[in-house]
Amino acid sequence: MSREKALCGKEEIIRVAVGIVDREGMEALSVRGIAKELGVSSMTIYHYVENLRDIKREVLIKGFDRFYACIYQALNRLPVPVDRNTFCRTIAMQVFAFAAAERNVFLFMFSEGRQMFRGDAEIRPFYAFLEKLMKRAKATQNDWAAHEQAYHLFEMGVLSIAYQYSAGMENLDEEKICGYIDFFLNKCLPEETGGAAKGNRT
Amino acid sequence: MVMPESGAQNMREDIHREFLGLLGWQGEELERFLPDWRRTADYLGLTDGDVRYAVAEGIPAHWDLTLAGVRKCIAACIREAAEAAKMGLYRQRGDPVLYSNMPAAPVCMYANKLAGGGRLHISHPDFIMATVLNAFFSKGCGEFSGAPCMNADCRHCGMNRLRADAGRNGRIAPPTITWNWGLHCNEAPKTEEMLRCIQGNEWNDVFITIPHDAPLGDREAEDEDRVDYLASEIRLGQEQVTACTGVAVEQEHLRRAMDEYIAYMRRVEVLTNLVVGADPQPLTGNELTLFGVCMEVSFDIGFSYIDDALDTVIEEVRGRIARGEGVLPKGAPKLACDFNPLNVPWVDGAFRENGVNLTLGRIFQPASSLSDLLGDDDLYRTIARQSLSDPNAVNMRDQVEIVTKLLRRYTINGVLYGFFAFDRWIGALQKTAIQIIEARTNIPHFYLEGDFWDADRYRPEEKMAVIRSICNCLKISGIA
Repeated sequence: MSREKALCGKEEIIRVAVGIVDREGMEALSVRGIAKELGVSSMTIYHYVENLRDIKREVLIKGFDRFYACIYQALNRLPVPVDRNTFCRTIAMQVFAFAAAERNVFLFMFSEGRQMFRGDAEIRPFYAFLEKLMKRAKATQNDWAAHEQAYHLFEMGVLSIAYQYSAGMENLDEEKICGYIDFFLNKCLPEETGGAAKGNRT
Repeated sequence: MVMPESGAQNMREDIHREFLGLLGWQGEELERFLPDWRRTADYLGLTDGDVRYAVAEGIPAHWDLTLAGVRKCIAACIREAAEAAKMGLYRQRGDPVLYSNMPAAPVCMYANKLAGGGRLHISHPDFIMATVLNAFFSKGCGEFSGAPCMNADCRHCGMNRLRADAGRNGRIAPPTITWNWGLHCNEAPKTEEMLRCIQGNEWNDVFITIPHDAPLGDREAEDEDRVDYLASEIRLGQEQVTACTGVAVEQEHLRRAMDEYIAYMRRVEVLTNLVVGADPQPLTGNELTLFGVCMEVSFDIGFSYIDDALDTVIEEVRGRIARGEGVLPKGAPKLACDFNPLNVPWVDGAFRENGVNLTLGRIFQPASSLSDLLGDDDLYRTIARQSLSDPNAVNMRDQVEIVTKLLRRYTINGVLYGFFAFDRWIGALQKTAIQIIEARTNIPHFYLEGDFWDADRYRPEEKMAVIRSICNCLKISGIA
């Protein structure tokens, strides 16, 4: 009689799930597929997770983990103090970089995942990220109240184009991406309010 | 090789001596306390291996023992656990024993201790057991209470489960009476009710509660009818306690207990202001919270040990601030913690490893605010008013107002809520309340699903992705 492989824990399931999403997209994610890859039965998976939604939630959390790590690392490389324009541009560039490198999880994070989990107490703080970061950052908090809507529009614009780029609806090279970011910065945060068309490009 | 019995016995004694020595006991005092500690270790269900682990890894991993104040504070918790272990003996010799759950009104409990003049003993046995086991021995409540009375599938709070099981199997000796406070926790009175059903006449209890029927937004501490009602409930509760213990509690006892409690809370406020205000932060979030251990409970050993620990650590913290020393480099973000992180010490460690200080363990009314509520001649009214100024005991809008005011006292980068998965409604209320508080204060609020009484229900690895994301968000804001 064959004995089923014992899992070390939920982490092992999520690791495999993240791999499937990276390779094949969220649509390909299933409990049966994870079980097959781990060499266990579907029932074993359900011992560690409640359902597929639970797994998707964890994939989303892992996505945010990598997303914020990229943004932090990019900002941390800049010479301090970082001005508002450079801060916004660096974050926007990292959004595009993440959208390219982690296409499938990015698409899930900002479409179906957002619909499913934006009310989740653990995940909620990680949406509207630009707004929240800029509200608190020294370089931006002073004019935050006066330009709250502008920051919101900037975030929406960047995410919207990055989503199309990630979904293959827009074929963008670095020049075009920078052009979009400059456009949004100029339109949403023009120079007289502290925004500038030409900042450090990272 | 078989070791001679006396040699094995000596080795066992050695690890217990080492444990006490680590916490500052020495010489004759250590030898005098050693039998008490051995009895306490048995009471807590600790093996020699558990004590060895605590000495070698558990305590040094989470607590800075180079600070004498920290050693003294842990020692105070151990002394109180030793008192809890003696409650059965006290009853056998005819002393009244008064238990309470946590959170309670510490002044009421301590007033009974003072009125008893050394003959009456007070204890929060489940609280001190859970705290010592989790914070210093990394043993969850779940490991300890394996009896079928309440099991993990019941999804009860680990502390109540521990009380139910340890009460039922006799590890926690029956008290003369339990004074149960249902102001925050409605599961505590239900647990007591179950214990009474099982233990019969051996388990007396009286409980205080107030209907959760205040209109949304009502400032409950300013609602005189509500204060009157709660004060009369507390007075009636005391009369019932006195009827069982034979110890009458007068206003003078309440006054002395209040004075000692406020003096303790003043020390906690001084330490909190120093630690939260300093950059770099001179203590970890765990350590700061440890000194607040008596905010909602009273110790049978009184306040002297914990006050001494506070005075010591305040001086040590001042020294660290003067020297610019901290647990993380200057500029590390500070995340105020709403829940008591003592029982899940790895959480504080995980944030620190990612460059963020936990701070302000528990969002509480400081002594300066509690002192503003001392105007009533009747101390039962004062205690009622203080209880109704606790953000966790009032309606959600009132809670939001109180917490908003408290958070504005400090310069912090974020607030962390959560770990209340054991409670059917606090977690749900908090998830709503923090969105309003965040909008009012502009301070980002984060949430971690978890259970601080039953940390082993959650694996640290499962929470690391969320913890890292929170830390990165806070650090990003600090860059620009």
